[in-house]
Amino acid sequence: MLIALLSIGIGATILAGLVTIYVDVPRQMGAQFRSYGANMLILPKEGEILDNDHLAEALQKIPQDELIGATPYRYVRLDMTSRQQSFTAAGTDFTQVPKTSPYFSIEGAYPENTREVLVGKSIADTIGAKVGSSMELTYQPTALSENLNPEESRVPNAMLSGSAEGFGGGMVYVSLKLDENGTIASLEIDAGTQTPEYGGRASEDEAYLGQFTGKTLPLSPDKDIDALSGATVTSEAVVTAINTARMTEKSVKPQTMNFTVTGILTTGGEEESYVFLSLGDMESLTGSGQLDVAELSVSAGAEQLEAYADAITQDSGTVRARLVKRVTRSEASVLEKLTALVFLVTLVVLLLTMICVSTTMMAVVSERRREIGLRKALGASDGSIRKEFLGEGLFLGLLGGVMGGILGFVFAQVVSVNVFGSSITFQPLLLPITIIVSMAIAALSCLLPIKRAVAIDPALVLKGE
Amino acid sequence: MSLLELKNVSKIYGDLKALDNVSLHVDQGEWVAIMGPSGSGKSTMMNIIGCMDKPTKGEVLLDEVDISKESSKNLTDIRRDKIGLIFQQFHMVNYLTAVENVMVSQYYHSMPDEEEALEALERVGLRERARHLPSQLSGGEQQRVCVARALINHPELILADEPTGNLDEANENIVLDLFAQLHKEGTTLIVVTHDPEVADAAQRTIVLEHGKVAREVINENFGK
Amino acid sequence: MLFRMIRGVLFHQKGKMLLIALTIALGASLATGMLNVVLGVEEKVNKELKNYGANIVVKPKDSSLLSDIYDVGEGSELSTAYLREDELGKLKTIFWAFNIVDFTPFLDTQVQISENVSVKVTGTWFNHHLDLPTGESLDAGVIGMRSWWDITEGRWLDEKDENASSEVMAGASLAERMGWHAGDTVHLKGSHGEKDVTIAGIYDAGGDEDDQLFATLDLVQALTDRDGKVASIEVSALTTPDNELARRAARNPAALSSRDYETWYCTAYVSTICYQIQEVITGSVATAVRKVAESEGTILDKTKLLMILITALSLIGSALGISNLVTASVMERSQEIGLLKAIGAKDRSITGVVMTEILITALIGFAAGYLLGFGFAQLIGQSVFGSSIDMDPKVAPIVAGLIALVTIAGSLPAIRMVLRLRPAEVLHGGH
Repeated sequence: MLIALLSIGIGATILAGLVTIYVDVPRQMGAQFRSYGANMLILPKEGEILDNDHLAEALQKIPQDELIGATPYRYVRLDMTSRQQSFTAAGTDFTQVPKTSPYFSIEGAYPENTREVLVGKSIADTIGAKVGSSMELTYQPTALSENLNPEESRVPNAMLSGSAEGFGGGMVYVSLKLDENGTIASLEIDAGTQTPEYGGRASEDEAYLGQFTGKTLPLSPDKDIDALSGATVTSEAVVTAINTARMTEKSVKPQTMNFTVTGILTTGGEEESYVFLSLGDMESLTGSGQLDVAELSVSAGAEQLEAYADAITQDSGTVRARLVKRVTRSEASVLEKLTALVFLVTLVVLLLTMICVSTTMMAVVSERRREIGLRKALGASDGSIRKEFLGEGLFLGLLGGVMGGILGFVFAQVVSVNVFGSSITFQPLLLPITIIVSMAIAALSCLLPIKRAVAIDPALVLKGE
Repeated sequence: MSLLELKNVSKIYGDLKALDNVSLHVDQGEWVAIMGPSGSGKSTMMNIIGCMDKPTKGEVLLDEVDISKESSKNLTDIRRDKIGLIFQQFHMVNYLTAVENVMVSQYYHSMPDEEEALEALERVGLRERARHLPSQLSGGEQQRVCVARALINHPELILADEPTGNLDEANENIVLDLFAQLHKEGTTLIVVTHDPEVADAAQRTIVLEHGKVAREVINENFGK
Repeated sequence: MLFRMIRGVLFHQKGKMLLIALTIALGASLATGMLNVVLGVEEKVNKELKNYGANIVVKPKDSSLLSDIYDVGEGSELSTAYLREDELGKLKTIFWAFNIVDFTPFLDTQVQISENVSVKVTGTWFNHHLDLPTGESLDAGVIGMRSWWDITEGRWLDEKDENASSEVMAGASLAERMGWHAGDTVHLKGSHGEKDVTIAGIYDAGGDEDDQLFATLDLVQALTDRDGKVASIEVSALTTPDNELARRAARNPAALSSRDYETWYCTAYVSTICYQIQEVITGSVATAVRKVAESEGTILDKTKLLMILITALSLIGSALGISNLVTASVMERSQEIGLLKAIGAKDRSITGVVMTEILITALIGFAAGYLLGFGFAQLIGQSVFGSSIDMDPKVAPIVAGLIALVTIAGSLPAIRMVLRLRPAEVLHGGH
């Protein structure tokens, strides 16, 4: 009996253990692939701006436990005038960086306070920087280009210029300065093309001009500003010109900050030629909290990821999500193979083990041929013998199934913790399934030998071999 | 001359005394029957005489050697050299042919000799069935092969436990005739049985009851 | 006689022995199959991971920063260092040449498309055919190294085509911006030349590379007068995951003891291959692309560990199953063993005979199981990876040894136990 029980127990353990592992492998292995870094990007839609609020809104679409990290980035050019070098600088959130770029190798440590930077290895080698060195970095605002839009221009201390068509087709020009708070500090209007007595007065009318001071852009013509009497069209043109005004070259003072190098970054990739600072410092330097992109590391299957990306893109007016094909594509293909591997292995092992269990059960029952013959000789009916042995088989199956189910789960847990460093997902259905399968196999493998044994003439068996 | 002597032999299992202070002797060349109902202790006695068991108390002298003191390893050797065993349930190795079953006994004693084995089979009238497996032999034939196996090494003592218990009359007679022949050749025979007719074939019958020797009966009609 | 007994068992107890042989065959096939899979899976998964692209990048020693800094890459005025195009073949001559699966050179420049539109062009290989001195031949290039690119219009540029150097591949974002389609002609003006090229195809890389053009190395070299030069090389190599030794060596190979150095040099760590590349490509520095290399290492390690543990479980399972059955079969023969003992056989001799019978059965089972295991390994290899798994020769003796061990462990104690029983108990079952 013990032998049969042991055999069923082994089979059940293997069944429960391997199936638990197989079911969990996609999730466990999938998590490993996050070491390749970000698999999704959040970008601004055409003509829109990405900022922390929009980002937070987009992140709502992804379940907390699947979002491993979301790292915002702002890229600008910074100069190191002392060395006459110029680098790309990335403003980011250092608490998130290790989550979306786990392959970063830091000599030293990530910055924790303001005025601290992480320097890429190429840069460090070029300028001879070490952990603890200091660097002075200057932000020179970008020269005027058609790409800079009115919204982007509204930074503190900016100088903007704009124009709009006024009365009679003539252009009205405005030139304004913003103060630290981004509100209008001073305004100059050139309304030379307008009717001198009416619209033309815009250039000098102090009461009219004074209205604009302290106002925030964009202006709302009816609410914020009283039009010049008799010069509605010109007044409208002035407001339009102001609202579409863009930044002029070098109208903002360059900002310089002194930083301490807290760490040197090695990746073997392009990041080694960047300097990394906190978003707070970036905002102080550039006067803007806008972001260029956010890198996300999401633990989900390929289809699910696409669903998230679509949801984010469709539901937001300002941002869109895009999968990092290089990462997601490769992950999908490799993960698929690994899952298939574990599946096939599980299948083969299970098949062989089940056959083994069957043969052992058959052997054990065959061994009791004599006992069966004896009972028949004593008057037991075929049916009652069959029932009894089947019952025993089912009971063994039950016992072995329970033992094996538990042991198998323990094994799966040991594997999960040692290989992936995390717990296995408990499959509540698996225990009953294991028990049922064990009982089924035990019963089925009993059937044939019992049938044969019952068919034998008891005298033959009792003769004693 | 005494071949076998039991001196105050007891076999005790807890409260049960299977054999209680039994003393008896068997001379060389004697044909002795040990009789008694079941539970009388005859199987136990058979085991002790056959070197398959040791008494709790007393001495068992086989050929002047006290086998009650010997190690099981030595018992095996003694048993092999001196005793031929015949069991009630004709135990044969079921994957060996009749002749091979006989040869097995030779093998452990000295050397297997197929010709000699065939002769032994001939003696029990089964030479033509030499190559048959036990499953192909009837009960009586199997028992006869066991007899052949028992005598192949020319043992001093043949110890038979209910040798005809499962045999029909015809086969029983064949076996008893064989015993008579062996006796004539000088082999000592101890036959344990509950069948009075089988006991009557012997020279002397020792009757056991409840583990003790109840009486001894000399067979007046022996040889006639 | 011994021979007769063994023959007797094998031929007349066929049913029982067959059962043992079958169980052992199953166990042996499981062990053989799993062990071969475990030994072969690392290489297969490693190959799959090459989908992620290069794990090593080779650059000239004194340079690299400049073009990145100035975001200009116009190239000619700034005398950045270069690597030699004619040395590329040497990559396949290093000690670990076999592990270098693909590689491709890059040379960037900016070209003027029109008055105020300038665009980055990268010169590279697409499917560059190399005939190596070893007799091997290889098609190296971006087609292999950028497995995640989708061709949305047109086709891949084919280097074997005679017009290859008059063609370009355009990134999807760039093409959309400029309104280009496959088949369009574009005029490129480089620092030292200009040319009309046709767009062979449009690709969607899902990244920054969508905003530029890719062309043959020859074309870019011609446009910038940098004949025979390349700015960097991406290499895709099969590597062994890093360990302590590898990390130490990566920091400073010269500091290793000569034994350690040899071990390190003869193992395909990323640092080793980088080191060996630097040995053959003049003036180069080769570094691991951590993003790819580290992750590969992690995934390979975990896959192997997972497979090993699964194998261990199945081996334990089959070992127990086999020894279980063997013990059962010995117990079943207790009457026969008791009989032999009663007849006068010595313990040692009985043990010998029974063990021999069982071991012969085990041998038959092992042979059948080994073949079956071979089948399983191939089934798994073909279904999952589309390639066959090599049968490691050392698996056979290992499995044979395990089977022998398990069989003996299952039978010996059982035989001993039966022998300890007094023949009386065994034979007089009825009394």
